[in-house]
Amino acid sequence: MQNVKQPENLVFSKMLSKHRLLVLALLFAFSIIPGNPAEAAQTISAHSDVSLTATAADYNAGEKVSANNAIDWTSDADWVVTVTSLNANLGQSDDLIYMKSLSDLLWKLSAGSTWAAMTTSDVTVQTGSTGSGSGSFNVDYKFLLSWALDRPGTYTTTLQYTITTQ
Amino acid sequence: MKRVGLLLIGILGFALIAVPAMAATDTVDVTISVPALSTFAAGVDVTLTATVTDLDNTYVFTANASTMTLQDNTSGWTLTAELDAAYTNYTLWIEDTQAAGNATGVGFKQIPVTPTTVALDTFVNYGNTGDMTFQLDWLATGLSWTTYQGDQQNTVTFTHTT
Repeated sequence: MQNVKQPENLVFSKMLSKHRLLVLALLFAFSIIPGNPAEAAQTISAHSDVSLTATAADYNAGEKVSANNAIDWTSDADWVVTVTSLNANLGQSDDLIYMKSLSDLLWKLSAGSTWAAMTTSDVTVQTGSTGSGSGSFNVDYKFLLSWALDRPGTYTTTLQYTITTQ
Repeated sequence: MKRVGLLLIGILGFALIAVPAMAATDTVDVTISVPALSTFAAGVDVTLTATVTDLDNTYVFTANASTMTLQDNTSGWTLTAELDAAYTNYTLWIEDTQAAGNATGVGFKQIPVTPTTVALDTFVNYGNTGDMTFQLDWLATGLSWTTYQGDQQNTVTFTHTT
């Protein structure tokens, strides 16, 4: 039997061919290890809760505003921040007669001028397309108030801010 | 060529998986506390000037002479009025003609004198939440030609109770 020596590059190619699935599996495994530098990483912080107390002057103005609530973000890829309410309404008055609508809570970017009613769907708040980085933007909240409707009580909802890659 | 293709697919797969649509979230509670709130203003002073006809009729009347405003975010409030002293020459009446809330209807009601044990809950008005305005008519009765000339002044105290 003739002993034919195979070229080294051919041996390598066969190994690669045999174990290509293994190679791909390893590549996949490396890609999903937490902390892998190649993985998109993002954080978001909405800071502390917002707590307001209504006054008669607020009722006369028809609203109570909390301005410049910072939202901090970090991302190593282009990003988008959305907000949604985790509650379908703002809760009941102390006497349980009145349910305050979620649409009585409005929000806007502090730098903007257009108020939007809060909803239970994810709504885009801010986007960034400069790649990796970190930053902050401010959000304003506004509760609508009515002498005829808003009986004494504590009206609240939990807002969820989410940052994802674009 | 095939092997090179596999390598490329692998690298492409790595690249696609390497930048997944990861998400991070944070929550914030947004709350407004609403205490029981109200404002009330009784409006301007009212002057009734009797004429000859008024003395003949034994009363003097003025329509829409004062406006009260009431803002209340609670229901079940009451609005009452009391005189600070009794006068022998006339009796003072009030009528809420442009009623918000649940006024008991058009008609003059005598303003009792303080202190009184009369239930005043429905004397002027009572009602629900809202931003309300009341137009008041005033009436003084008991006048006659024997009434002495001169000014007689009463203080009427309106009380809004929630």
